[in-house]
Amino acid sequence: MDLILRHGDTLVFVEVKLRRGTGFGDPLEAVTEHKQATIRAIAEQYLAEEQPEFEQARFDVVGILAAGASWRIEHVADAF
Amino acid sequence: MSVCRAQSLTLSGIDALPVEVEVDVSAGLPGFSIVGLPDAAVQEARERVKVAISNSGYKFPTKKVIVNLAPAHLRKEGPAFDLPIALAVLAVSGAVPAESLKDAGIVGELSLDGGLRGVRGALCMAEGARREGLQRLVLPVSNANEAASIGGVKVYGIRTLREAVDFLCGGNEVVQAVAEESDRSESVETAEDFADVAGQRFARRALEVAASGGHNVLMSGPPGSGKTMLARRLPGILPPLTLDESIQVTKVHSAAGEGKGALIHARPFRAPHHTISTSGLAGGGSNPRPGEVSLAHHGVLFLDEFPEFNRATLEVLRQPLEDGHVTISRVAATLSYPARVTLVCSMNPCPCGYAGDKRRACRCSAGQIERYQGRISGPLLDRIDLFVDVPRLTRQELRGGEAAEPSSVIRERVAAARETQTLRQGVPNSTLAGARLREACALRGDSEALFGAAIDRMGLTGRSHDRVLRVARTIADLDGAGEIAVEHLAEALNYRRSSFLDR
Repeated sequence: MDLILRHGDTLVFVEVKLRRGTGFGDPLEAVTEHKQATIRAIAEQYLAEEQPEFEQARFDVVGILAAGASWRIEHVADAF
Repeated sequence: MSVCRAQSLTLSGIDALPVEVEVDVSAGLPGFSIVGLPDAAVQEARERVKVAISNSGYKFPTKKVIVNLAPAHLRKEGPAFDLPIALAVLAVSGAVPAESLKDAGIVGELSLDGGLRGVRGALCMAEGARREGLQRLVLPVSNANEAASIGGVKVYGIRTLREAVDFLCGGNEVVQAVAEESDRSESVETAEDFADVAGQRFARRALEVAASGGHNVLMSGPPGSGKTMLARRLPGILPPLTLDESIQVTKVHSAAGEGKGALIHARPFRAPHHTISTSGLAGGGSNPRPGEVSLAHHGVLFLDEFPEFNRATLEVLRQPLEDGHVTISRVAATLSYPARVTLVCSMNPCPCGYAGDKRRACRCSAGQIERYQGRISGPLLDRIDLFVDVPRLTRQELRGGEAAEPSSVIRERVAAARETQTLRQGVPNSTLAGARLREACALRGDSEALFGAAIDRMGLTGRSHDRVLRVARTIADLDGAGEIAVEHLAEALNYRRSSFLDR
């Protein structure tokens, strides 16, 4: 879990993945189902303990491919 | 466009049903899921398709990919959807023109390097594609000849995923597969010939009648008298398959994954071991496959050591012997496989094997014999047309130099008799029923009187009444007679009796 942001009345949890190359797959692919479950669990606990006033939450993933000088940044809103 | 469709087919019994493969690619975390009642092999297509696409030099989309196999209520099994899924995915990413998938039926299993493996039921799929009005059928090259043998749809055999893509792009011209020319009248040369069988004139005649009309036979006799030897020679005298029968036989074998790559022209002869299970004989399994009784469709099912078979297993033969098909109900579906067989069985008259033998005393008690023969139920025996005693050979028969008639001569008579039946009623005598039976087997004068007396004396059931008439018709056909005469009927009645089976 890298960022927790506010977007209107929605709390947005953001996972940021950076890869230097695609040899082991796309950065977005690195957010596996197992990792998604972990993020979900952390978010639930955080919502309950710290921000009980928020009724909506969302999970975003940002994939950064940093191959040499060219960077590609991909933002998937409401990813899972 | 983010949704692309490919047409495919799946087996249900021996018929292929159309399946539409829809692929949607949308923004989101990369993922690949398949819906539409897929079984484990279809689910595994995800890994094969993904790897095969990248190993063929294309890019698998790093997006959310959803595959839907429609209609959703039909259970999908097997790896044959690999190729249509892969091509529909490539159509979304633009590597394959989407319009090229509209009129082509596509089936094939992918290997990890993008090569294609054969699928089961190619002939059935070609027939399904023709019925669904698809112009082309694209499948693995190893299935092409078999699929092409039916005609009416252009069949293209391909080797790799890349070749399939190039073909659909119109880049390369894959040669259209054509049916191999084969001579249908090609004679069945078996190593085993009736010329090798000494004596047993009665049994030889009975098998000739059985082959001509497709009647069921039960041979009984002591060990070593030649029952198995006789049965093994039966394929050599069976009449050739008609084209229609050929297609049906090939469909069943194709659906079982036993296709030979071309139309089958020889009548099947199946001899399962007596330890066979019920589903092995009738067909079944969670992914249903035809059983031995269906693989013997339009041919001979030979059950050696008849009473050794599990009784419950044998009882499943009742429906196919009467109706000519087997119906199997499974969670996945209720299927029907054709199963019109000539049943040939052999057995010993008692556990020790020598009851009724002239040279050797039987060691079995009356109770043992009764139990042994009781393993075969009355209803099953009622479906046997010809009861044949195969006695021990005499010294003269064993050493006699008299050359027996070779299979080729018998085969000619059998083929002529079957031809007569086909011309008269279009089907073999064993399947005559109702009005057609009454018409073809009309009795007159003496024969009517003989039959009337026999019905009373032999206690014929409704079913065995019909069976005697059919056998008499076949004997008359072998004789080239237009009407059933007294001697034909008398011979047919003679086959109802057995010296040992007291029924």
